[in-house]
Amino acid sequence: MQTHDASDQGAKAMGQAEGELTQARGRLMAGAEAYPDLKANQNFLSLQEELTSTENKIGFARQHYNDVVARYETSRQSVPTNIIAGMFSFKEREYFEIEEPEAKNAPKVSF
Amino acid sequence: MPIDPTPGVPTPGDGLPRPHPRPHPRPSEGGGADKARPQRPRAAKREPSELDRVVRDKVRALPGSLTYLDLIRKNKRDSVLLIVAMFVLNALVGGAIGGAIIPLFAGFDSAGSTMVSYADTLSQDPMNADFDGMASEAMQVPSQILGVDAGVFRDTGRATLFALIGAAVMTLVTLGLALEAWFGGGRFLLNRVHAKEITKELDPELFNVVDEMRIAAGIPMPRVYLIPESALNAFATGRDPEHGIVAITTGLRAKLTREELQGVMAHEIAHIRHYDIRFSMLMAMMVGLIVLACDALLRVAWYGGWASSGRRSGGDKKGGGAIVIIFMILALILAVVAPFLAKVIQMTYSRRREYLADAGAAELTRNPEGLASALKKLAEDKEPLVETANRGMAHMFIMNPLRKKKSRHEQSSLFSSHPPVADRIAKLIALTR
Repeated sequence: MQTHDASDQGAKAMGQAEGELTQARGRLMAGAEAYPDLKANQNFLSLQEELTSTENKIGFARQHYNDVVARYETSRQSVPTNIIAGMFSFKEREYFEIEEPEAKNAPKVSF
Repeated sequence: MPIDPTPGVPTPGDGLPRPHPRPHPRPSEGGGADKARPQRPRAAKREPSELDRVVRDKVRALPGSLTYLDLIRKNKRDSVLLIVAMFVLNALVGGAIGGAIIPLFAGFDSAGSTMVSYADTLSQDPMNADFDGMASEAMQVPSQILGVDAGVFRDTGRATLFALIGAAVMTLVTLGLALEAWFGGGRFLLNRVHAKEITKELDPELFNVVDEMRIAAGIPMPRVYLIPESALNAFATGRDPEHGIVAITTGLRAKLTREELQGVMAHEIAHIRHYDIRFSMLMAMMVGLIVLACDALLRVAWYGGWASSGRRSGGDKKGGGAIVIIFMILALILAVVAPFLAKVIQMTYSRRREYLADAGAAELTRNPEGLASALKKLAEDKEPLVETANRGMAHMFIMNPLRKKKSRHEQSSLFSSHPPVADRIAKLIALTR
């Protein structure tokens, strides 16, 4: 990853930030376990929906990015498009991977 | 979780340089899905229904290494072949009509000089008097275009004229509807089913799910509509992703878990992303043209007495008659078979695109089970499907809205716009193995 431009570094930082978000949400949900009233609260439910959705959106955005990179890399490396890619030295692109082990196995919270 | 954490990861050797990573667990496994978990069909161990058994047998028949990329590739290839087949059929019909009508013209060379405008013919002929009031407005434009033919076809008569005018009017109407569909963005359809556009405040979960799926697809946010009906269905429309619209019935909305809703919305977003609305419109227009052209050709042959014109033109040309007659017979056979064939191609195409949207949904959610479980709910529903829908809209819905109540586990038919739901579920389940 060191050989690549700033956008890849950005991706790494984003991955870390996302790991933190996931952890924070996990802590919130774990905390909510202790308060049954809270789980029935409409405001809390909508907060939970928003957090879930935000996390999903980040996940899907990364998935989309990786899908595009996969397609780009496929055509960059396969005949006949690799000739053009070689001629104009198209750069290799990194997948957006998550470094944090916590984010990789997102906490399983049941309530 | 009984599910393999990476159901959608392509196997090596399917064209990708390396398996495409899924660093993050399936996004739908967040809190929203947890709520739904106790209701999942897997969790509730109940007696397998007839549908379950059918699906299980079908899953066994599919190759074990199936990935959504394979499904997408196959469906795209088949779609292209079907479009090409349709164009070839169009060219054949066009050629046959041209070939069959031109000799007819040649036989009437002398008559060509007596050019009478259609309006004159109409008013002079007492047989047509009653048509005047009824159709004069509708025929104003075509009469000017086709007036030339009126004289030429003196003895081929009114039938030809009406066929051609009918064709012209129908073409204009088809074109008008197509333009409406193009620029109106499905407003007609949405009005017809009384759909109401909703904002995020009204249903945050639905809105979020759509937003998640459109992010996964990398398209702008479509508008979201709710159809006030208890029937279970959903559809997508819009000529391109910038004008995308997704709609779902309140009945389906209430019945699905978040995970299933994600599957259904991913299917609709996949339709938008694949430009299915545009292509099904193109198909419908080509079918319409073929049907009209063949109908016109048959009417010319039937009422115009081709046998005699063939003889006459043959007599003039000395020996050319046999060829003309053979050609006419071939054209007639084509005119009978082509509309049927066009319809079959159109519906095969429609079914292909449904499978493609299902595979596309698996690509977006990376969770084929969500859509599979939603489809099962749709299939096992006992209510009639959207009552306000008609045949012209059927292809847009996630389930055929015209399905009869009785035939719930329908067989594959050449003329149905959707594949049998058991096959669709089986292909999705096969991805999770």
